[in-house]
Amino acid sequence: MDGRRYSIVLVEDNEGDTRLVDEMLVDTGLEHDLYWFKDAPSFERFFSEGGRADLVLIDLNVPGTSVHDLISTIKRRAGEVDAPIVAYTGSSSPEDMVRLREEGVERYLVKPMGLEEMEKTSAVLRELLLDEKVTADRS
Amino acid sequence: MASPTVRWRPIEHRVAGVTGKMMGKCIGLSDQILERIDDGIFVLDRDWRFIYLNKRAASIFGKDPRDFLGKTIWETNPELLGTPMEAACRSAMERGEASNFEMKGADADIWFEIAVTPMSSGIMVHGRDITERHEEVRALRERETRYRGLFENLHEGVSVSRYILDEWGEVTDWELIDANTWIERLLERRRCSLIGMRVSQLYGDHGIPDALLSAVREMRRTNSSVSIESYRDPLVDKDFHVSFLPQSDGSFYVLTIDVTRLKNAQSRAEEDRARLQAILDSTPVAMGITDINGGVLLDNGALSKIWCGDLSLKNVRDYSKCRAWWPESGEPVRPEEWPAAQALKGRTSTETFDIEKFDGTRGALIVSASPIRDQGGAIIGAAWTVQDVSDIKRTEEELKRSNADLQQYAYVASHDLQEPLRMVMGHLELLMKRHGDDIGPDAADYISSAIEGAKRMRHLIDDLLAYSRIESKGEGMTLVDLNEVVSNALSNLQASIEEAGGQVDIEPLPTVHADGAQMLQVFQNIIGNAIKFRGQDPPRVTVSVRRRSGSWLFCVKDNGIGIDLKHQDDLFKMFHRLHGSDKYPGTGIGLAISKKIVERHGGRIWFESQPGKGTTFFFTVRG
Repeated sequence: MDGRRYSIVLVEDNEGDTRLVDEMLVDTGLEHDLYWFKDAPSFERFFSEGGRADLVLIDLNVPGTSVHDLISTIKRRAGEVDAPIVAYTGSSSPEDMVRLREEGVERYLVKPMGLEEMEKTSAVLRELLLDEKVTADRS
Repeated sequence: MASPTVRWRPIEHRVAGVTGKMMGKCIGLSDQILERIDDGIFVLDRDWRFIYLNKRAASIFGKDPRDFLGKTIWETNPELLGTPMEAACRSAMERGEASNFEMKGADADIWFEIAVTPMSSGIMVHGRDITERHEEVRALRERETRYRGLFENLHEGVSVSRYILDEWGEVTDWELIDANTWIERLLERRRCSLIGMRVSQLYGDHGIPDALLSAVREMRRTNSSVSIESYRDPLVDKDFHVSFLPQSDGSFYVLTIDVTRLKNAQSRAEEDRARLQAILDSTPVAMGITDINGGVLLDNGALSKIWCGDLSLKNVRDYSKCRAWWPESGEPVRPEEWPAAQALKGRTSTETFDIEKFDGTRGALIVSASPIRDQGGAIIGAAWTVQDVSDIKRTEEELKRSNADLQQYAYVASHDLQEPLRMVMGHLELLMKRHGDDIGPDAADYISSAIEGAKRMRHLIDDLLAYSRIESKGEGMTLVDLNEVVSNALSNLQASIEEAGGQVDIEPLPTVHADGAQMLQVFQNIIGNAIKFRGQDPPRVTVSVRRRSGSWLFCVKDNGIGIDLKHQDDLFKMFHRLHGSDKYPGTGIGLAISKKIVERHGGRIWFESQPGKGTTFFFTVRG
């Protein structure tokens, strides 16, 4: 524990998923603040108003915003934001992964189902926060 | 024969052109005549001596007239001894009997008509060369024999008849003068009973067929031959071709040819043609041929039905009347792109086009054409078929759409089902984790059951997703070494095989054109089932393969609990289970997925089994 306080930004329309992300972050054992945005514009506003983050998780199925717009947002912000931006997806289908990669999304995290997966995901989040170079993976 | 009208005295030395002694004017004249005529004449006295011989007679004997002077005929012409000539001469000389006969000359090619006439002082012999006449008669006889032979042996009927006219000079009947054996056989009557018979008698109650009567009348009126192509004779019940040929002497020939077989063959051919036409007319497939310019020469009429309007196609340019598009590109079909036009360039082709019919409706056609060539191989036209596949295509498209819809539905459903499930599972498990100790054992039980239910639900969703992905996903077909595939399947199943103490024997397997990941699923599902549904004994599984007409037949045989054959169809349905999940875990998707994969590979899957005696799963893969 280095006493540092981590800032995590989550773009997610589902409150339940948000709570589960929070629980997983608690399980990382790291001090953190979770900033939750329900859509892309409010998330962009956060950055334009000088907000900062150590990790950005974006659910691609946000109502009112197309996957393509979200991805271009991620790419544009990736240059400005000094933090890994990770697609947070409910899909586990391989072709969805392939599509994300074709769209240029390097990192993604599959939303965990059940406690066992949550524990694994929590470990990944911890590593992402501690070492930005770790590539997020669905495992 | 001409006998001499002048009597002459016997003069020893009167031999033609030798003495020149004239015995009076009269004699002198007859001498001149005798010397000039072309008949040979000589006179013998009672001692057989020549007392007269004209030039022609000497030349017939081939000697000089002087050689005969004072000689007997037997001295000059001993070759005549023993011939009819000697007999005739002796009979005239001794008994005064004249005779006439024909005789061949010394030169075998000449015939003479000889007349021997007794005279008071001896005999006169007169010979006329009849070779020419003789030849003519012989030739006539030969010709007659030849024609008679032809007449009798013809395979057609020939008869000669004579008109019978009424008081106004109109032909009412005719009478047979002659008929050949063919006619005899046809009418089953002897010629002698036929000759002199009238045709009206022959036909009796039938009466003379009108066709014959009017033909004979026409022949007589026009004095030229008349033919009846074909008529059915009521007497013998056969079809004949009959020709009437007028003769100058008031008779006429009738040539009769039996065409019954020909007619029968013709009517059979016509029946066949009518039948074929009926088939052609009733088929919905349009077919026909074009000329070298692409103009439609002949078609079965279906083309206008297909297009809902009349097409008048005189050449390839006219094909632009048919509005059609290439299905893939949507480009209009140009006139020269129609298969019939391609066929005129020697190409045989079959295409499917989208079309707009003349009534504005959309449709689809399968159009085929191939060149027609003459005996020299030159293209003279095209043969084509056009099939309206609008309905088939519509159904196909609807099916495709509904399949895609279903797949999309299954995919979306499983995706969207994941989210609430994630909520249920995540929060229930969190609840247990964070507050499990506070809520009491009953509540903990309830929550555990709920979590179990959610987990099963998750498996179902995962399986549904996997099933819906079979068509869409897949690495595509490549060459796959099934030995590798099966060994991967076994290593995935290693834990359960070891736990069951099982053994799996694998025969060497082929390399096939397939989707490797999907093949892995099939083998893993079937071998996994064989391990899972085991009996009392440790599971023993054999994987073998056989070659069977264009495909590989794989067999996975086990010694497990077996399956009642009544489940043959149900077993492969989605989520169909024969056992409770407490006894044998699983959602029941494995065989449904396997079936879908096998079918995607152009194969079939089935099983043979008896409860308690193990099961053998079979499936085929093309290649």
